[in-house]
Amino acid sequence: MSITADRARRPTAERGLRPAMAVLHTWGGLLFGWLLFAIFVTGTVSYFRDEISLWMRPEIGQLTATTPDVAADAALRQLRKNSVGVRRWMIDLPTDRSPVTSALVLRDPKTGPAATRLTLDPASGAPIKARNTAGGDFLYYFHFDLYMPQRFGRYLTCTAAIVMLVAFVSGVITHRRIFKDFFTFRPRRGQRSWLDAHNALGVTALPFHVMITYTGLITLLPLYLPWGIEAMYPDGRQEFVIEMFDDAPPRKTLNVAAPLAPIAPLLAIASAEWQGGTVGRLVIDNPGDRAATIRLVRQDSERISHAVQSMLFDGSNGALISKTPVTGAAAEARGIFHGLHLARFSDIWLRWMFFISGIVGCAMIATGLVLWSVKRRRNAANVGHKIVDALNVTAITGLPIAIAAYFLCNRLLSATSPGRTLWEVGCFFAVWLIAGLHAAIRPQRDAWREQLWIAALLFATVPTVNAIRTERGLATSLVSGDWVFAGFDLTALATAVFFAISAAHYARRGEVAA
Amino acid sequence: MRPTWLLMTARILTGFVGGYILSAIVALFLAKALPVVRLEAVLTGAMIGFVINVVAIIWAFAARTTLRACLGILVPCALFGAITPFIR
Repeated sequence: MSITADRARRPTAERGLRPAMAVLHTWGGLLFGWLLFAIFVTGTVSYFRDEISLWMRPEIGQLTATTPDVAADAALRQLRKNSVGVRRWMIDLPTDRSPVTSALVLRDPKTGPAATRLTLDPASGAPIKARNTAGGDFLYYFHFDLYMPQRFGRYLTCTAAIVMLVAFVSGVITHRRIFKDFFTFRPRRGQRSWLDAHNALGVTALPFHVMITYTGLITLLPLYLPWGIEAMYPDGRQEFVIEMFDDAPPRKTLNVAAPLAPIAPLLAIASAEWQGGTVGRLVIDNPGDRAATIRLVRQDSERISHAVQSMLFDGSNGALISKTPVTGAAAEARGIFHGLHLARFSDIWLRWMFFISGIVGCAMIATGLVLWSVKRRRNAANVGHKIVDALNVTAITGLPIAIAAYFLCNRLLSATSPGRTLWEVGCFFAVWLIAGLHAAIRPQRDAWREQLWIAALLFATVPTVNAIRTERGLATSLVSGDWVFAGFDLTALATAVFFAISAAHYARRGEVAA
Repeated sequence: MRPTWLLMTARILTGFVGGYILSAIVALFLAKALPVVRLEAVLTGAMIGFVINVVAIIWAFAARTTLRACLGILVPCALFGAITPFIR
């Protein structure tokens, strides 16, 4: 028996490092590719979470900026008007990106709704009447929760992130001439072109991809690897939460009325403590009671690190109770990793760079998925191959279609209709499901062509419907320098153009391999 | 002769299940063993654990034989698993 014959019987992994890594890359990438694509798309979009939320509530006009002192004072004056049974006020002060004050009111359920969200004018504290919407928050939470019950979505996201990192390592090892090939692009050569595109996209933004995937895992660290926490904090998670997030449970009420201490001096103390930093959030527990506390949390856009910096004051006399201790190296590293992932620190230009890098990541995953199919075109009649093709279409064009439908639903539903938040989310999933069914029923070529055109059409419709249904159409926002609205509408148009070009290109070449 | 699919299944299980177990054990070991305050030790252990998880999966497929792949994960698991309970 010759050595070659013996080798042929061995699994691919035993024939050498490169084929083994290729197997891992191909199949790991395929199985998690659709999920990873959805995570990357919604994550990339979430760089503009605040801006999307503003666009989805067009009633919030452009507001004049105020100081944190004025905004905090105005918000508290407003909230005090109805403080029966209140357990907590959580007030997010306006930022450069979101000009409103948002307040969350938690109540004793016996005295009113357990949780109420309010949007306040920062200068006057008056509530702003704006439509309910799932907003940018829905896409943000979908990015790691996947809209699944319990923590299931988060575990799945963690697993996908591990597979993504494995795909980076195995992909680089598989890739024989990583530097030389980077300058190689062979257009209109079917499989070759898809491979070149996949490689170029992967290599260009590789540092970003590795960073964003690893830091993504860090954000879910206590969930994925809780074993050290379990062992070192035998009294329960609470102790860990206190040490890590400086977030102790509220004190017990004394049932003795006492007014809240003036807020401005406390903001000044916090600002001095943080060398001129500003307060972004106020958490006030048991307001009006002798046992009230005021926790001031630093604005997270001021630092790269997302490790919490906060100060806790006695609510009635304003005395300092505690402040975040100086963090160690590991806690600081974790905070910086977490902060890098969220990118709250970045200005508008860096934010766009992150956004573009994210798009490159989406394109890398998409080209990888298509490459799998194109490479095995001979088996296109197999059931398995058909399922892959249908899922490719559902993910790569179906998800953008669902997102466009989600934005359109926000504009088409009446601003006052009850339960409109759920309708928006329902619309997103219903449209995605229909796209999936369409991809399953139609022949692959027709499915791609039709969905590319539908995506183009829907994204072109978004600014159009916005111009019809609100007073803040693209022409108006461009003239008035309203860059949140203009930016959103222009991005939607650019997306529409991208899909239209893809569709036209596809129609001309007649196959994905174009 | 061992069939190919069996060897492949062994590598997949070793990599994905064994890899996670190894990362969990290492994270636990470091959380207990590192001579720093507990928050620091816990976070360091978990941050290294993620890397171990990825490396273990790569190893499970990169090792020349399936036996080496399995042993490469099992031996450190056993080693750290044996020491960790005795750290106070």
